[in-house]
Amino acid sequence: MYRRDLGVSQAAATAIAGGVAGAAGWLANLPLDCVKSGVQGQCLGGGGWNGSVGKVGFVEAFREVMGRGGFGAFFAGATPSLVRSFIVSGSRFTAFTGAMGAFQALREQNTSLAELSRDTGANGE
Amino acid sequence: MARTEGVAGMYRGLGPPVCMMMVMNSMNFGAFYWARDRLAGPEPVGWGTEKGGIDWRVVAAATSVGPLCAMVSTPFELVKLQVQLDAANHSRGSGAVAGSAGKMKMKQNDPSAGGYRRKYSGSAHAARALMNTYGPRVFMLGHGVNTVRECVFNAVFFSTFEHVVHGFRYVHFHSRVGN
Repeated sequence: MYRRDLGVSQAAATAIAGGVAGAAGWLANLPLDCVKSGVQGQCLGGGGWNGSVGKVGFVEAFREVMGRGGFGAFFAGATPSLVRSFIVSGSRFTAFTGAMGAFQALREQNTSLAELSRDTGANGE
Repeated sequence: MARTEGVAGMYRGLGPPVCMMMVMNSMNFGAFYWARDRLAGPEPVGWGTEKGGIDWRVVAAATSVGPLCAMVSTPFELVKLQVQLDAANHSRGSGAVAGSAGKMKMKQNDPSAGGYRRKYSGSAHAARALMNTYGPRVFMLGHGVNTVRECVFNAVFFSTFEHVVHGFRYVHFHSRVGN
């Protein structure tokens, strides 16, 4: 088994993979997000401390969206969401891996310094 | 909305998602990599690695983050949606439709005023008003569907990343020498 480096930097690979992951996640997520918005975005009324606050449940919200244009209605406005998630997720993963790398380097530096000071102290005794 | 509310109106309800993102990102990434290390170890998987294929232990670790995220995101999402709908109803005027539950038209707060009067001045006000009117249970409205949504999203999101990130850097191929 051989491995060939494609010449893409770690940061670029992370950004692209993060973007692809975000877009894929949102594509899978859009129908459920639509239903969730239907449930949480309903006109709240009645209710009270012990009453039921929501009249529209999962099934009603699902039917409502289906009634607006079939299965395609779940993916209405998908393009801006996917573009946004590509950018956001790419930058999110890049920031995360960058920060983790920086913390790791800091920890290794501190460990080296601690070992150095311990060795110096041991030699001095 | 841009005409009636200005650019600032388009950012109404921004507070809750920003807070939510800060909490959820640290929780998401921390919980996922903790679960991944325990279920599948730190070795790279998927495209561009020697193993190739889908490692279902990584998918399971990614899915397990969902319920945790939903606990945090449900209240924030509810407040965000209610504030944004309030702003949208205000800009549309009277008789605006409330979300996808559109069969229930919003009643005008004050018909004599000739339009919809905004209920919430911001996210914090909306959260307080919802709490006072409906009690704490309102913040868990849609929690079930949101939990499923978070599980699906995190499963696809983290699994896709873990399985493709090495493929953009390396290609593995078998040697045919000696065959």
